[in-house]
Amino acid sequence: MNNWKKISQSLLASGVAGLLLAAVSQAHATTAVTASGALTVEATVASSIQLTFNTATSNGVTLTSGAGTNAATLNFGTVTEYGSVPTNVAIATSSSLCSSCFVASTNVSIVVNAADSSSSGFSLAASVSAPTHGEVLAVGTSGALSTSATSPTPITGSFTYGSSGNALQVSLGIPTATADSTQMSDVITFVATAN
Amino acid sequence: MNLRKTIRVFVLPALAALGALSAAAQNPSASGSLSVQLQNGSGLQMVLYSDPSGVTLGNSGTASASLAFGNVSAYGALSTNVTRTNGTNSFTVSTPFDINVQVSGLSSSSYTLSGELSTALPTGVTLEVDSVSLSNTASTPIQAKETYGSNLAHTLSAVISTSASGSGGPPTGSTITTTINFVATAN
Amino acid sequence: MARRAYLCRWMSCVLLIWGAATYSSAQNTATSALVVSMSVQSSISLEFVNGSGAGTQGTCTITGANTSTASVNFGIASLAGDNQSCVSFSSTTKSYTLSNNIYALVTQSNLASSGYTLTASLGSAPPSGVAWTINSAALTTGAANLTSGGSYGSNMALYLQVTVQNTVTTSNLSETINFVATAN
Repeated sequence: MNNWKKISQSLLASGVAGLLLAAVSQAHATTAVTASGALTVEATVASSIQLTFNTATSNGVTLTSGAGTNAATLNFGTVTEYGSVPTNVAIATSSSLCSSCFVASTNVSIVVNAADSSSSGFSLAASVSAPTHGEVLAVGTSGALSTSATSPTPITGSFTYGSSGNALQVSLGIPTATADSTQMSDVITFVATAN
Repeated sequence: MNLRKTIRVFVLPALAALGALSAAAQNPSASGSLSVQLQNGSGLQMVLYSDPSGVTLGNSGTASASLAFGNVSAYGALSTNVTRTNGTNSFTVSTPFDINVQVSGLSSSSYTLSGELSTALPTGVTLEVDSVSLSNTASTPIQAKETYGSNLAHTLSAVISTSASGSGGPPTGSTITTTINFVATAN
Repeated sequence: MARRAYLCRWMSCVLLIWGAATYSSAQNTATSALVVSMSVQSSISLEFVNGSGAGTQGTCTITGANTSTASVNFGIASLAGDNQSCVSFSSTTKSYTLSNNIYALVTQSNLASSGYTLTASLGSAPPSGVAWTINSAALTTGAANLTSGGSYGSNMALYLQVTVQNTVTTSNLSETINFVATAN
């Protein structure tokens, strides 16, 4: 008798479960109203490098503007051959860079980052826009920079990628015959090329 | 005898002529009926559009459009209406595009938008719509309650590793292509 | 009374002629006269026919072809499309339109008419948001003129379109379109 009860209970339970299952599956079978669209996306990833300027942590004049960008301003301030020297500017009264001149120097940090590239290093070159007061500009040990943007002067050295940057000396050779209070403004264009 | 002759000669022809006249007075006509069976069902329609601030889509205004980012790089120039943010180890290029879903024959007030990639992307590249990363293994919900009937802007982003190819970064110099299959489901 | 008398005489006369014919047969000759009369009336017919491209998209095959009572199945449609491949489907953001070519053939007999006028009307007013047209002429329950110069014996293409706004609920939109061709 107990077995029959168990069997009937079991059948009842399975019947209810079956009904529930059927109800659930029917609810599930209700077709959702949908619409579809397809957007084909195309992109070509290119390797790239980026050059930015920062104030050099050692012996560098604080960049007036544009630190962290690729268009910065470095102001030597007022320089004299024999007078007071601005902070982080060095004055040399003689240099192989120019004759009858004195040279003001400071450091700048050049930061080059690479993306999607297997390059391990890069080369640097620089050129300067035509100086208007007979001044001569140099970066590192390059000597006088080329005034041709298409033929920039190679900068000697071994440079590394990364935010720690590469400190480079920027030198400005000023003719001693330059009139007092002459304002000089030159643009040095740097080109980094991944090796 | 005269009466019969009169009838035969004058009246009968006159009646015949009258009959012909009455027949000619009404132009013949024919009719037909065409039964057209039509059941108005319920459905959604999805259309992809260029966003005014985004890359111009190919086949804008259809359900099958294309979007070309062009050359993308962490530092180089980008195509018009492609924006970029640079992260620590990746950069993201983005552009908006519009989706318009219309409903007919249904009392639904909103829809769910989901998307799935047709193919796996190369290492170092992920695609996002509205900051939701998409995969090619399952449809991913993007928006839960979108409204019908207007162009809704969505942001398509490609997150690209800055690592070199072979070191976790994507291949460079070749076009990466995939298709996002969007599905709008009436709520 | 006089009219009845006249008729009686006339009937007697006919009988007399018949009697004469019987009599004549005995003479190996016979004559008779059978008066046949009819009234020929002009008539035209209208039937629906399948065009040459029947079954292809834009020209569904009709049932009841070559009769004046035909039907065509536009299927189940929504903004998402139509389940009948022979129906041309287009949509905007707010409506969809189904299009199909139907052909009617009007023929004439005993008629000096050079053409016919064809009108069409809907059997019942469609629900709001549903519009039927034939050759761009809007159809209503009143007669819409489709042509005033139809040519007999040539299939006339009837470009049947129905536009359904997306506000129309799921429903049966079937219609009967009644055509009348009248000789000009």
